[in-house]
Amino acid sequence: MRPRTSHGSRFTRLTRLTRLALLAALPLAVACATLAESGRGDVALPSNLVGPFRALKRGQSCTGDVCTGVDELPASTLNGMIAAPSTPIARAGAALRLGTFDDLHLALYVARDVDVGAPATIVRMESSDARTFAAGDVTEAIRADQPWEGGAIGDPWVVRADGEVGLYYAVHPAQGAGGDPAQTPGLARARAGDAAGTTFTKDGALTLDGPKGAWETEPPRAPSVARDDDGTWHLFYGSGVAIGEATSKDGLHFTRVGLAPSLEPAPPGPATLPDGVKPPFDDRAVDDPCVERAVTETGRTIWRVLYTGLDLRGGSGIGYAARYGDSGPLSRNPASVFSTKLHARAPAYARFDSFALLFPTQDTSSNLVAYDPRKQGLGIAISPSRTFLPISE
Amino acid sequence: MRARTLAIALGSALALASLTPRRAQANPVETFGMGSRSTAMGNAVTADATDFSANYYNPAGLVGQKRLLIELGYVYAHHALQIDGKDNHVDDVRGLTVGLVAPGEVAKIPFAFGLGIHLPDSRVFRVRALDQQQPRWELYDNRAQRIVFAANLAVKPFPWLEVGGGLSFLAGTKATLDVTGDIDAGDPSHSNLRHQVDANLNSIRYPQFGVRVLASDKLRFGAVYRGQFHLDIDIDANVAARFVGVPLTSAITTSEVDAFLPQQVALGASWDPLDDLTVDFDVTWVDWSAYQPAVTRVTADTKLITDDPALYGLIPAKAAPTVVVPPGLHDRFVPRVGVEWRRPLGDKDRGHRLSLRAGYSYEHTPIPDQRGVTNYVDADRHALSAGLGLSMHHLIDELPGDVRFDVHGQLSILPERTTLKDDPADLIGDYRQRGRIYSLGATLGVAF
Repeated sequence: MRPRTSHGSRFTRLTRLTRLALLAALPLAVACATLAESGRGDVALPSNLVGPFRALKRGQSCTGDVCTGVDELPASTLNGMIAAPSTPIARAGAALRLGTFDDLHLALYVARDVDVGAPATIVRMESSDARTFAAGDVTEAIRADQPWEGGAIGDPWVVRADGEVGLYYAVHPAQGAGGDPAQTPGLARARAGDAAGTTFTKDGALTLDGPKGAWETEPPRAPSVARDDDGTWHLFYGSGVAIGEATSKDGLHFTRVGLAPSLEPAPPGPATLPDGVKPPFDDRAVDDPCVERAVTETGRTIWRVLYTGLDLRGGSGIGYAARYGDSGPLSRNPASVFSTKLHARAPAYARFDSFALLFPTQDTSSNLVAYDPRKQGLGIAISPSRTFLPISE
Repeated sequence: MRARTLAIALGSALALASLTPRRAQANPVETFGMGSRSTAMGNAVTADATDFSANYYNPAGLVGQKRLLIELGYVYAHHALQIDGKDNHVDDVRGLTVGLVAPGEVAKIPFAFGLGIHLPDSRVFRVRALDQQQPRWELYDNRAQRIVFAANLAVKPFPWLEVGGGLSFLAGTKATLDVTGDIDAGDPSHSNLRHQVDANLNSIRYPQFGVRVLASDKLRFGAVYRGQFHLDIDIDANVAARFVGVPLTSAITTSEVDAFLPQQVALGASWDPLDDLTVDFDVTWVDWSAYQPAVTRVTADTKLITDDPALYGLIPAKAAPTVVVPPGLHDRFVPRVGVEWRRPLGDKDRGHRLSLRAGYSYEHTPIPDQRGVTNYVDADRHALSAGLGLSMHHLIDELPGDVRFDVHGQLSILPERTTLKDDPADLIGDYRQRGRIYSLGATLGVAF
């Protein structure tokens, strides 16, 4: 029989060895306990939230119990279109956010065809999810009931300032001012005293002083207005094939900024392009400015303008131009930020905390060979394009 | 001794089998170090590494190891990298480290074979190629997500000189995807497609060489060269299908550099001002100007075989070629310093020892201001490290050599950097980037 001490010593040595082995096995156990996962690294990336935009999808496909894709729109809608009342929509104009952070509650102001022909009313459409607009949520904002409006108004734009909502709009020359384009006031304003922008009182036509540039071949249209830090109103408007700018201290009496437009069509590209390279999307005209003044993450003032780009081949898309500071011409991004075969144009824009929504006016069918006022609708698209909205009920 | 001879023979065979080295690799060791002792000393060990980490820092140091050494460790690094104050969730890096140093003698010339492996436990490697406009943490996002396998040989032809070199291994990808069948444009779920995949993971080898000069008992110098490497991923996709009843063919080729490590030269010195104190200095030149970013280049040639002009414009025949903007990185010198203080534990004759370590390195970002369309996000990096080592000699009869246990922690501080875009119509716009990287690790070694 071995002495107890010897037996105990051997036992102790074995225990030590076991402990060392267990210590060595620890990292192996840790490694085995971890599971592989999808790589990330692209969360919360910076973006100006002005594109590229992706049309919202109604693309969920189910086989049995297995569904793939996403369903961001109600089943009653067309892909990439909001659910709107059936009366034809002539043109989107502006979005007014009614919530905070990423709350989707908003109102859209839309020029609407009462019948086939020129729009005569601007309506306010309210939605809690930015995608479904019931008939009961549509109210008339203003009607073309003044003699100087000639029964034809459109191109709405709304801006919140000093607790009011200003509604800028165009008076179309075809019918306005008795049908004389030279006498049409072009642009006008109404104001609502409530922050939700429901009941408007008309202020009258805007004045636009200062010498015209040669580019301004038509009465101004498609107004878009924002105010800078010193209270100056900046008006961007379309005319001819370009976009111009004017400023004002009271938001009603404007003076043109120089003789040159702020944004012109892109110069036409070379006659032959390399394989796969597309000509500019806006080499025929730019129109329908949608302006936003902001401060970048680094403290620089920036004016961002989304606009309609028309090309020489009959297509259109939404473009983006911008400038640093409160004056100067706009620099255009060469690529369209939203383009489909549905002739997207006249962007309305709503910026939320982490994403932005675009509401362009567009055809409801890609088979249209010519403009059909009865087949127009409001599209909806999102930026950043990898952001997905929750399912709309 | 038999095991030692076997290990040396294996190392020699590996070296002979790999006589056509290619280029070096972007890897987690490059960013977070190898082995707890070396990492704790700020990676400033070109003249001082003799454990398995010498497989990366300087293969010549392997022959400085006197005993057969087997090491096993684990490293974990957490990125807290932010743009505009929002965490971008750059993937953590974690994995096992395994190493071997087998010394011996051939014709009375000291000789050693070394093996170093970093084995990630979440993914062996990650392929991630992005549009060049998409912001990404270029040096941290994907480059460290891969396996490292290095084998080296070292000899000591003179008492004052050690020379070593070896190879690291990785796989490049060349794949072909063939798709045939019918595409239902109206309802994709009714499409009927068949596909075949033929992929090859081709072996890529890249070299490193090092020397160590033992100037005296208290002073050592080291130099190492690590070769350039880029990991290419090429995928060809061929589609032959019917689209709305019309035959369609499409050939799509994507080509990208998934990972790139520039060549570099490191010079180091290691000095023992006191018997129990070692101070290490390193400076590394990195050829960042040769850097190639991981940007996808796509070409597509699609053809609808039809006489119907209405269908011509339905699918673009060719995709616009990708024009990669040169990243324009700058070469950099990276200084590093490390210190180790050793203290006997208990009775000095027993050979137990406690070591305290600290280190620092500064990497001035090689990426220029991103004023144009690219968004390779990066910032300067200050890396502060510290560690503790416990070495116990002849702990039990079964282990007559040393048992070593080292731990380390590293804090990398990336101070704020501001990116201002020249073009106000840039879709990304201005941003600020900054961050922290926290790294922890432990290594257990047994010297027989």
